[in-house]
Amino acid sequence: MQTTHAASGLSVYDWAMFAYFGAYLVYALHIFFLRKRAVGVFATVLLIAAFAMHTVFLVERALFYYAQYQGFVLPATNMFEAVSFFAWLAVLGYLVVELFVVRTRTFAIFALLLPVAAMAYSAKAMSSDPRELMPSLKSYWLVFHITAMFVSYAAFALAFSFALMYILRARGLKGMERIDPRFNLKFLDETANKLIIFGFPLLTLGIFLGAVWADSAWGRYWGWDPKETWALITWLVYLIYLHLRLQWSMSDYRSALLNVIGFVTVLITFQGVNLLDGLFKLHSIHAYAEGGGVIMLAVLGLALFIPLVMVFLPEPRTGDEALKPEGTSKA
Amino acid sequence: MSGAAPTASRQGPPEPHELLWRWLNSLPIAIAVMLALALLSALGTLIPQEHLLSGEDALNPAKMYVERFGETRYHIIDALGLNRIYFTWYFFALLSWLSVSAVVCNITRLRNTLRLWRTPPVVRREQAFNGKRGAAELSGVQAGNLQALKAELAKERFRVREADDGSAHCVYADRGFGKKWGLVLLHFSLIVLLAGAIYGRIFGVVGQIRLADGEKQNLTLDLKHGKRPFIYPLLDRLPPLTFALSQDRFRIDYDKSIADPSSLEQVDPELRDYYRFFVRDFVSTLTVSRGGVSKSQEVKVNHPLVLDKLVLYQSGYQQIGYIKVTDAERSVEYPVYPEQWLVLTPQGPVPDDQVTSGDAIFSSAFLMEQVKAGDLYQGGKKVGYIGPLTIVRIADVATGQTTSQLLSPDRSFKTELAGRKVRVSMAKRVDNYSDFAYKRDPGIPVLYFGWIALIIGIALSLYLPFTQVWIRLSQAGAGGETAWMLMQGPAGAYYARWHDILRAP
Repeated sequence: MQTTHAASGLSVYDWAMFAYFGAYLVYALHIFFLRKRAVGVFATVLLIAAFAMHTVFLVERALFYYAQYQGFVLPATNMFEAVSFFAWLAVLGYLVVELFVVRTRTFAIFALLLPVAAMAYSAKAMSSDPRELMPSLKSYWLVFHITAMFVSYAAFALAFSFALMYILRARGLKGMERIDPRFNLKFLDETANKLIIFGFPLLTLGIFLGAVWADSAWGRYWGWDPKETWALITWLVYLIYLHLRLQWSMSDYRSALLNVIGFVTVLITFQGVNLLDGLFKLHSIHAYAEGGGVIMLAVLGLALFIPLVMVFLPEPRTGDEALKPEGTSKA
Repeated sequence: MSGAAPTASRQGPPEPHELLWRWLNSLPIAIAVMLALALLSALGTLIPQEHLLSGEDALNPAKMYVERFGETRYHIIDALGLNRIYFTWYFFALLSWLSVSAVVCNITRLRNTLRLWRTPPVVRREQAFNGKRGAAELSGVQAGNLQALKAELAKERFRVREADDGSAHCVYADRGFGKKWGLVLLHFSLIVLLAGAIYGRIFGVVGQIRLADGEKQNLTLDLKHGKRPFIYPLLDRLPPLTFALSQDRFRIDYDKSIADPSSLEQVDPELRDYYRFFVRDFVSTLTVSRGGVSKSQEVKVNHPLVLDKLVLYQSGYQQIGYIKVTDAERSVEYPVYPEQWLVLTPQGPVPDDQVTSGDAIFSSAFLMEQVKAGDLYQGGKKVGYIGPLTIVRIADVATGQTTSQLLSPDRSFKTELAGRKVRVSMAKRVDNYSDFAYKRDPGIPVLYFGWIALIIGIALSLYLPFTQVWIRLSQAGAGGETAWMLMQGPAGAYYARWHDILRAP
């Protein structure tokens, strides 16, 4: 890949990743120890710098594809690029929320965890080489399909982090409100819910655009391929969430657990499908040794299983019922 | 979805149809069905599905399942249909239940929505305000202020209605009714989606066809292929559909990578160019005719040809090269397929595991990679022609040493066959085959209509806020009147302002 290499031999992508890590650490420092405004501003500036470098990488990659294929290709054509593009969208979403919506940095520690981990995962586990594109990828549908899907994934990722904060808070981690007095159960629950409401129509649109694209490229709009099937499962899980939430007044705690399950299905759709595929194609021990596939699968399985069990356990007594919104039942 | 069945008010145990109606209206059952669909779908990604098998597995699926799961488990899987889970009757039944349930619960919803639209609940009694969250009782309200508030609501694009109930003047306003219509639309769209898919599966046809460069073939659509016999009577009355296909030209275009992947560093520099060439596009110039109508166009991936609802997609290609074996007396060409160890025998190249005669007749075995031949593009411009070109791995039978080299009409290797020296090179001849997937699916317009309705419905119902405002201004009182005000829905920012308007001196 002909990408910007500094004298140290690091690519702009590596620098972006280090800057993301740095920003994350400064955010943590700011949130837990140094509440000075300057530290917070520095964290945001560092994150913006990392985001800018990441953007430079994406533009470079798009220009490379333009030179090779004489057309715009969204740099999300293989797993490395897809993970990187997802992280980019999630950071963009975070920055918009931090700077223009909630105007606080206090949720960075949760919200940035996934994109930063995704960047590390992409850099560690995957080749960053641009690959030759299958002719089917040279399609404008790619841009619309991937963007709709990933914006919804990014919204679900953020919703997941709020749900996680909710669960920790409900399980007695009161320090959450010392981080930010607004982090009461009501705020966390409503924010997670709003993010799912934002993401769900985009997920539906993304699946539809994928079907239209599949129909124009391969002559079928739906083939029950594992990726498509898991996208449908994700859609069904969030559909169940919305019905339970809007029609059945499901409790906030169980909403948060279902939210976690929903996000695990997002992860399986995005990543886990390849692992499942690997396990079934290679029915030998090799599949277990490659790329930590089974570890990832076990983590996903546990992340899916634990909340499923917790849904049926009695809810924690949080001791601040006053914070619960009216009209929610303990169904 | 509401729990009450409209016909269940009668005393006594419900009739079966009433029970069915009640179940179709039940949210818990609908959620259980969604969950079952999700779990079955997930199961289908853990057990290999027959329709996704390829190669040898697709030719003999039973063998693959027995090898993987054992005889007994395979019979259980097969009997339960777990190897074709998405096409089983129970999966279809669950999908149908969900769609019909969405329609049934939507009937109640549609009735309520229409009622709210036509006759909004303008009059709200005082008791209905009292104690409601967000309800406010305001005293000293001037009658003129209500007019100002009505104007404000209308300016904010609320639908404003008013009425007197004898003791008070009532105003009702709502905004964002699209949310309600969106909910109705999305629940109806599910059945449209399912109907489109079923219609397409009954009357549609899919298949594959391969054409060699320059070949002509008639394609007769077999509507019954892959369908259950009970559908046949529906298809018997349809006229046969035959299309004449002519592959006027098929070309495979190559491009040269402008950046080397890091894995190429391991490759001998001489051979790197071969790996830099990759297929940019494979393009058929195809003519399709039926009933005096003819259409000709370039067909490539993402650019199918459509004639009389038949869609032809460029789905694949095969490029077969020939090797030329030359000795002192003659030169013979043989087709070769990639990724197979071959040895030369007097009858031509034979896979090494099928050779029965002794080692004495040949001195080396060889394996070839995919042949590459076609126009070469760089930077979007045609710059020449490559090939036929391949990489050959030659194993010396005596020493077991393997060497790799380029093989082309100009680059050859020497070996021995039955004591004679022979030279092996690429022949100039290359056979290109073009693979098409074809489809005629009359359900697609219905299906896409349903899908778009679903997306619009979901977006309206989730993104659009629905807000209702009630104001009740009592007509008694001297120095101003008493008003009750209640708002439901997310317009909190306005609410305080509306209070101020009503309370203005």
